Order: sequence, then C-alpha cells, then structure tokens
Amino acid sequence: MKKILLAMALGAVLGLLDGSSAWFSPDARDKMGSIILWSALKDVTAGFLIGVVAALVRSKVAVVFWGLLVGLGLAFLVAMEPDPDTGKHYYLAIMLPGGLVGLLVGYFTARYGGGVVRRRAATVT
Amino acid sequence: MDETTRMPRTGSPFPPTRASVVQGVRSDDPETRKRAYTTLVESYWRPVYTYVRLQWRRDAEQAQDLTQEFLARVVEKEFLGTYEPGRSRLRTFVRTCLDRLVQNADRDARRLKRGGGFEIRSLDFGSVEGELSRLDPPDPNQGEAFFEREWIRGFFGSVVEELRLECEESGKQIHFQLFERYDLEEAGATYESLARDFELSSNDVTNRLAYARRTFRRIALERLRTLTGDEAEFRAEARTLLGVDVS
Amino acid sequence: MRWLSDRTVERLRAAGSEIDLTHTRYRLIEPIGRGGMGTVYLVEDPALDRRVALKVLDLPDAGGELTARLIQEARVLARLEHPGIVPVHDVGELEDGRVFYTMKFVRGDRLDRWVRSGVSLRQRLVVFRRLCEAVAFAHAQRVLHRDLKPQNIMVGAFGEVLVMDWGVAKILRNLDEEPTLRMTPEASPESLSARSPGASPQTRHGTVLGTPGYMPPEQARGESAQLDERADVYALGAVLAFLLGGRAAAEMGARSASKPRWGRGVPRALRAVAEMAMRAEPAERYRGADELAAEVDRFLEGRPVMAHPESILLRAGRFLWKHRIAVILLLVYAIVRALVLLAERP
Ligand SMILES: Nc1ncnc2c1ncn2[C@@H]1O[C@H](COP(=O)(O)OP(=O)(O)O)[C@@H](O)[C@H]1O
Repeated sequence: MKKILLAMALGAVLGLLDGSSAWFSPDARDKMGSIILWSALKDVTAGFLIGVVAALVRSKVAVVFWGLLVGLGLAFLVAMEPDPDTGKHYYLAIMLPGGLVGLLVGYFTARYGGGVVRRRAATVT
Repeated sequence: MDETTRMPRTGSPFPPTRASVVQGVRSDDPETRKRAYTTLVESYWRPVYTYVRLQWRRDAEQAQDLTQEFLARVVEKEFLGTYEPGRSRLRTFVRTCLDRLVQNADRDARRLKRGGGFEIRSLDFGSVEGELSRLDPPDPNQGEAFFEREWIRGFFGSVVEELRLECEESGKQIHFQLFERYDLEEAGATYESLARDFELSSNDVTNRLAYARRTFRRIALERLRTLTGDEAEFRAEARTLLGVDVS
Repeated sequence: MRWLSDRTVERLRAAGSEIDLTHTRYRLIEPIGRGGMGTVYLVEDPALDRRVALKVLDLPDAGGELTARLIQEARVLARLEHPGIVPVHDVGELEDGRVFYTMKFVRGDRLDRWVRSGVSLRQRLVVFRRLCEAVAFAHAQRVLHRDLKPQNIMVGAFGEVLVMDWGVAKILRNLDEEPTLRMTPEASPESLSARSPGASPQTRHGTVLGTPGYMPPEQARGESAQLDERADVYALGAVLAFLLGGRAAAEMGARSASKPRWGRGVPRALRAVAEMAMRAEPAERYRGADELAAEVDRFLEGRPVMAHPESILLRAGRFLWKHRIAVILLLVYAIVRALVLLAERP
C-alpha cells in the first residue's frame, strides 16, 4: 500500500513538472492548464500501475523496466491524438520524457519504498 | 631404604616447617631456625652435589667437599640475609651463590671448612653417584635449567617419600602402592591391571588413586610454600611444577 | 629417598596438575586455556550429555581472595544473561578445596586471532557493534568489565561475539559506596612481567588491574573507586583501534593512553571514533557503550559520525554519492526534457 501511494505521489509530482515544462514551448503556452492536468493524470495512473507491481515484485530491475514500459505505453496513448492545430503527431517529444518519467517512478519506488509485500508463507511464524 | 640417605626428621610426617624457610632462618627461636635449615639442606644437597659434579665437572671428592662447604655456608646466619624475596626465585639465588663459591674455591684453594654450628649428618653421596650415570650430560650454558631439573627431581622425591609416610601412618598403604604402580613406575599400570592385582573394584582403584594424587598435590604445595620466599614466588613455582601446560 | 627418572618426574607433574573431579558431576576431557588466576578445562557433563568449560583456581586459596574473585565472576556472569556474554551454569568446589565454575563451552576464535583470518572492514565493524551491545547491556546491569581486550573476546563461527573473563569486573553501587571487590595481584608470569616495577603505580584503592594499552589512564593510576562506564568505553576504543589496525595497533597498545598510530586506508571517521573513545579525559569520551555503538551504526549506514563533524560540502557530497543512481536518472531526464523542448522550437 505504501509503495502504491508513493508511486502515485511521485507520478503526480513528476507529471506536474513534466506538464509545466510545456511553458517553455511558445505555441503550447495558451493550453497550459489542460496540458498540466492531463500530464499529471497520466503519470498518477502510471504511478498506480508501477506501484502495484513494485509492491509484489522483489526485483528492482524488473520494476524499473516495468516503469519504463508503463511510461512509454501511456505516453503512446497520449501521442496517438494528433495536435488539433497542426494535425501532427509528436510521438518522440511525448514518449521520450514519458518513458523516462515512468522509469524514474519505478526506480524511486523500488529503491526508497521499502520491502515487498511478504508472501503468506513467510508471515507464518 | 638406607638410613643415611634420610635427613634428620623430627619424626612427624608433616613438613618440618610450614612457614617459608626464608623467614625461618631469620627467626630468633633456635628450634625454628634449625628446622628451616634442615629443610633447606634436605631439599638442596642432592641438586647441589649433582650440579657441582656434572655442571662444574668436579670429581667426586672435590664435589663432596664443595657441597659440604656450601651447605655449611647456607647454615650461617648471613647467607639468606642477603636474599630478597621478589627479586629472584630462592632456587636461582642458591644456585648463583653456589656458582660463586665454586669459582672462589678455584681461585684460592684454601682449606674448606666444615660444620658451622649445625652438624650436617653424613650425606649419602654414594647413592647419588650411582644415579649420575643415568643423567644426560648438562649443556654448559644451561646451568639454571639443569639445576632446576635436579632440584625438581629431588623435590618430587621427597614429596613421594612424605606421601608414603603419611599413607602408612593413616593405614592407607594400598593407596600408596596403587600410586606407586600407576604414577611412579616407568611401565605404568592400567586401572584394570591394578584392580586385578589388588583385587579391588575399578571404582575403588579410581577413588584410592584420586586420594593419593590429591594428597600428593597437597604435600607438594605445602612443601613448596616452605621453600619459596614469598607468595608470588610460591604461585609462580606452583605453576612451574604443577601447572597445566596448555598448548 | 627414591631416585626419580625424568619420565617419572613428568608423570608426577601430570598427576599433580590433573584436577580431581571425582565428587563432581563432571568428567575431564582436556585443558583448554590458562588465564591469570586459573585454568579452563573442557569437561563433560554426563547428566546433560554436553560439554562445558570449567574454570578452576590453580591453587587452593587460603586467603580466600581469589576464591571470592572467582565466585564473584560467576555471579557477575549469572547476572548478565545476554547472548553476548558467556552463560554460567554451575559453581562448585573440588575435593582439595579449589573453587570452580562451569560455563558454556565457546567454540570460536579469540578476537586477536580472528582478525588475522582476513575479515573485511564491515565484518569487523559488525562484530565490534555486537561487542558494544554486550558491554552496554552489562552497563545497564551496573557491571563494569574493566579488562576488555581482544584476548578476552571470542568470535563464534557465525560472527556472534562473546565477552569473557569477567574476573575483575566491578559491580557499581550507589555513588558513595565502595566497590564490592578488592582485587589482589596475580603471580602469573604474564602479569608479573606486565607489572614491571614503576610501570604501573598502585594506590590505596587497590592493585592496578587491566591491561596496558587497553586501560584508561584513570585505571592505570589505580583510581578504581572513580571508574565508571567510560573506562570500558576507553577499552572499547582501543579494541576498535586494534580492529582497524590489526597487528600494528596492538603494538601501539603498549603505550598506554597515547594516541593510536594509524595505518593507511583507515577511514577518517572511524579513526575519530576510536580516538574520541580513547580520550584521556573521561568526560570527553562517549558516555556509554551504546553511544559508541550508535556511532559505528552511523558509519555503517554512511551517515556522518559525531566524532568527526563534516562541512556542508562534504555532507552534500556524501549524500549525492549515496543516492548517485537517482541523481543520474534525474539529470538524464532533465537533459532529455530540455533537448525535446529545444527540438520543438522552430
Ligand atoms: N567458556 C570457554 N570456552 C572456551 N574457551 C574458554 C572459555 N573460557 C575460557 N576459555 C579459554 O581459556 C583462556 C583463559 O580464560 P580466562 O577466562 O581468560 O582466564 P583468566 O580469567 O584467568 O585470565 C581463554 O583465553 C580462552 O581461550
């Protein structure tokens, strides 16, 4: 539970940051509100998916890799929607940071989130 | 046993004096003094003689004279007066004095005096002579070790003797005989063979041997106390003689 | 008088030194060690079918002081039930009046031999930590060891630590009360040589006990009435120095109360910890073995130790190093993010 919450919180923070970086790109500046909202929503979802796995799987590498996959996957869904103004797809510009955010969430959760949920057999004393 | 090999005893099987001979010889009471000297002479004459014979390579006659002379000195009041317990072991002190005496006797072949207040009964040098051949020739540089070994040999010899007397007096001859067979004889009996030979249960053998050894140890410690200068030396000597070697 | 051959003399020595266990429940197996006041034997307890160690005085003790000391040691051990302190089983008396006690037979290596078997710094520190815990426990029971040194510490096969030789331990009472035990000098060859004239002054508090190099200055001065937990802290510091320097530091141990001389490659922070524990002034040392243990913990966890305060920069560096992967990942993300933004610009 702790891990899932941690991962979702990380997702929220990183999603907000990631979204806010759109401010630097002039043509996106007027849509800041929705960009930040969607970005945060996407990464909280990613955090949830990563957190659940991190709580069950002991291997750090597996969790990090899963984070990368989730980040890429969700970013892909977002990138499938073309830009309403230009009609272009920004696959690279969305998926690259998205994947990295997933990876970061995965790493932080695995490294700083404590142990995994213990198997039932192990809790019998 | 030859009467002459026995040093004068007071008739009691117990050590002639319980207190250290070092204190004994300084006593004002002539009886105490005499007992202390007796103990000293008794436990030192054999190693002294053997040492002069083998370490200093003197012939039997010279060695006898030197031994007599040395013992006469020991009996003089000043001899132990210079001994300070704590500085060295009494045994080492005695040996150092002996070395000096032999060296001086070399230099001025003056007449050796005998006696000196106390009569030293005739010592059975002959019996010691017979044993010398059984000893390894000493290393010229290991005088102290040689003297110590001979001293210990004599010491244990007198402890065994006292054990025998004590066992006889308390009607425990069998205990002593078991000890003799098991611990003294070179061949070394086993508990089983002893039980057979003495028609005892093996439990009896165990208990009696344990008694004899316990008594042996007690006598040895009592005697050692009289032959050492102070508590520290006593403990150190007890470790040397009866301590366990732990590798 | 009977003439005894060399072999017979040897047999008699053996017969005279063998302990007589006839009226005890134990059977002799072999001698295993010799200390200042007695010998330790491995014996069997047939009733419980186990082997135990039996420590017995070398000599019947007329004055009773050594006897009192041995019994006191057994009682101290009985009071200190802790996995790091050897458990005592039984106290008794041999036929000849010598007092003994039995305790768990410890299989393992003495600390000084153990370090030579090539153990890592971390392993050494973990063992040292356990040692501190055991001593802290004793302190909580108001017992000072007063003779902690590598020779008195055993390390088991699984790294468990057992503190031995509580023969000169002191039970602390209320502040103004005299110590319960008055100790006597030992006449063992070792302690005689260790106590060369003038080397260790004695005072009316009693004889100096302890081992040069592991003994704090106040103990060397014989101020036994004033000793407190910090005397053991000093000894622990010396043991730590020994563990860090192996052989060399043991030799440094001969010069009491001097600063350890360090070999190369000993972490600064650990040096500072050992030196703080070994300060001449008790007030400047750690207040207890638990504080010392906490310091070692801090070092093991990569946190700064109290004895060696660090500048902000060093601390930041240590923090970044500890979390280096996270830092690198964040940097990579930031760079990628920036590159993506730049690429989007017309
Ligand atoms: N319980 C034990 N198990 C195994 N060996 C022991 C035990 N107690 C003591 N020893 C060994 O015996 C030696 C002497 O014991 P120690 O208690 O230090 O004697 P002392 O207190 O007289 O100095 C130690 O160095 C150790 O090797």
